Amino acid sequence: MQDSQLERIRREERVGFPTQYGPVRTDKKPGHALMPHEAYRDAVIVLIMTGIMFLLTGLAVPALGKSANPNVVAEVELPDWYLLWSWGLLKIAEIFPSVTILGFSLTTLTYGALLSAVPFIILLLLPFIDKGFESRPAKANLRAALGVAGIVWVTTASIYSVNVLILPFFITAKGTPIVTDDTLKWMFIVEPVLAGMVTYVALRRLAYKPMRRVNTIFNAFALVLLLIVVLYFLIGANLMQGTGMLSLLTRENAFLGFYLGIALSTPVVALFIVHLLDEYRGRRTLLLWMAFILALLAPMSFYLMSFEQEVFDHVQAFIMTNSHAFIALPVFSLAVTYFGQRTPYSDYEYKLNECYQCGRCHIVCPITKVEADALGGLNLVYNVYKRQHDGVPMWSCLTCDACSAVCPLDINYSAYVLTERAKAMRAKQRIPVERPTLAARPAAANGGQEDG
Amino acid sequence: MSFRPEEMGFPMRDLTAGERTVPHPIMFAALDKEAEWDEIPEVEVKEKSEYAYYPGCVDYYDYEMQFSRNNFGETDHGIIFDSSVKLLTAMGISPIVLDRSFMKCCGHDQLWQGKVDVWNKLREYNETLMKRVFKQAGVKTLIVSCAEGYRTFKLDYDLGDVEVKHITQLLYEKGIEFRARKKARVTYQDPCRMCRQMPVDPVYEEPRELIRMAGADYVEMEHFRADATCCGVAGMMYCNEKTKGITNDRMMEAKEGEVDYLLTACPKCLTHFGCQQHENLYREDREKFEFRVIDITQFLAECLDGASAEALAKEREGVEQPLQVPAPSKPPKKEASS
Repeated sequence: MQDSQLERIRREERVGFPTQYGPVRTDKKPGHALMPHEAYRDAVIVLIMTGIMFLLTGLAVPALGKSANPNVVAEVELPDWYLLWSWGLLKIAEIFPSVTILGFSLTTLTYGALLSAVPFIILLLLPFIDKGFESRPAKANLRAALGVAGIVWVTTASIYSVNVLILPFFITAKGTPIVTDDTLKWMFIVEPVLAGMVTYVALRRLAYKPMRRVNTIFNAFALVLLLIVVLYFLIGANLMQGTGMLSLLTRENAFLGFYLGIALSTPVVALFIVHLLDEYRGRRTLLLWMAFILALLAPMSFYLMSFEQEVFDHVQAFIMTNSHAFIALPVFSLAVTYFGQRTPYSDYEYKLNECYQCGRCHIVCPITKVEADALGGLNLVYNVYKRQHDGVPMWSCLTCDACSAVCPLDINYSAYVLTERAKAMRAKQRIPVERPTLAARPAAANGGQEDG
Repeated sequence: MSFRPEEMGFPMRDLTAGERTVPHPIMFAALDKEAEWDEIPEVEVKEKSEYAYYPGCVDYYDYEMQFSRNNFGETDHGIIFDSSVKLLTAMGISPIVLDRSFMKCCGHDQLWQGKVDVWNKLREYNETLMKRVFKQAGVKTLIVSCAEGYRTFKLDYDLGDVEVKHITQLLYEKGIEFRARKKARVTYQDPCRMCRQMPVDPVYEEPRELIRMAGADYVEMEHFRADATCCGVAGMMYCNEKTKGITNDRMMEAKEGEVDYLLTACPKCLTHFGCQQHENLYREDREKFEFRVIDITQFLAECLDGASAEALAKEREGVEQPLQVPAPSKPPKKEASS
């Protein structure tokens, strides 16, 4: 019997696995067949919708408006709203040069028609180009980013189609345009690229990656900006007036320096937290720092407001004129660091939620054969995750990964065990998620949708 | 001086009572203590070699198993190191040996027990030191003879361009020749860390092919490859009646195949199979396992040039052993479990 099993594996050319699971399987793809399941269901829905439309028209005859007059040209030509994008593309087509090749003249109209066909061609080709299995945006983040960019592109086209209505809004009192038609044309490139990039970064963040680099860049930028503002407006302005540096050493400026110091120190503290502390300690330190700042600011401001009105006015005059830099930036710096320090989706949370409780893991789990309190239900790890166990059986888990091997959804159960055990042992450091320990699946196992 | 841990003042728990604790408190206290010593020494490597070999903590296990009186059988971990070096030498490879005189434990057990802090310390130490050694010696391949080490160095460590290979992969690639072919029925236990837990380069075929090349009659157990049942313990987590039940089930599968050898590539499997085999000898209601339980490197080394187990052991006689604990004349008393 054992030999026959081996023979079967050899015959089917599957190295390693006696049976295949997950998206990489080659024997049979999961899902329902188009005929008859999907076709019948869709046919019924179409019939019901048509019936409802007949019912409504039977109940209330729609009132028709005035008949159109072809002799009168409208002031602003507008198609129906759902065709605005096509109208926008026809308008943008004027940027292409009109040429004649082999007797065929390519005019603006030709380009416009071709441009309008682009979205349809992409939509038609999509099922043939993209054969990934993952439909969740966070897992197929490149595809999702391209999709968002496409939607933004079409929306931009819609907005551009009414450019004659938009442009008058952006004109100075003297009649000079702030936003020109060319600027709007550039939006066809700028907006989709920006939207796509933001989507990609956000989705990567949502899935696995920590946000250390973004935090660093933001805080460093904030620090540099604050320094420039201080140097330029405070010291530079003084020097330009020719009063010299010594004139800065006044009593009012000493109080002002206190406020500026707090504003400047915030990104420094944020950088320190991002680089030297781990998630838990970093966030706690940040909260303590916020409390510390408030404890300093509140009594000082109260004192100045009550007893030293002139000094307060001086401070306020400088701070409030640059309120973007000295109030908004530090607040954003704190917020960005606090939220960016957290790893929102751990791999197991993300994957264990996918479980559709087929129970294969339970069949193969060796522990469920011997542990009385692990009998019944799904596997140990899943039950602990769903709080159907007190978590104790997880310490019985052998981490032999037999469950992960048979999981049709490629859930890596041992990753959860690792994290939970680390919590139970009160580990101060997190398991580094960048390492492949927690994302220990090859790119092919995710249907080729693991972008980068 | 007494070698009994409870008499030495260690708080020992009854590990057979099914309590959920991390066992081997002494060994892991020692290993955790070792992690705190984080001064990374400067090393100077004069030899050049493309290969480095990390034997891991196998010899340490020998010492600990005897020390805590968990192994009274014939299980010999240290011989894995000897056999591996013998096999590599036969292939004309003289690797840089990264032994525990200056390296630390790879930290696999600490990671899987949840001691992430300890693991991180061990990892940083080993990674830094290894990179220094690799740079000086020009190492391109790190050879390990242990399934857990294979997984840990390959997935959890960042060793740069250095490729991590299990010794069976290397032997199979280079095409080793066995002069003393064995006529025996042999089966092989796939260690979970080396097969289904590896998303890249799982080692399934190389050990099997090598066993066939050694002239043995290879037999599969009921569950094999990615389906292989666990040996009962991973990461030295437990030793209780339940894990022993799993170990026993697995060994029964080998017995049904009527094998002469049960081979494995993981010291943990070796430990627990050996322990079970020995323990069952003293229990009337248990199956007796007649086959030999050894590591695959030992088996291959025995097939290499006719060196028997005795000959291999004789070679080791001159080597200084860490601590010689006299084996007890009779088996220890076991409490009757429920």
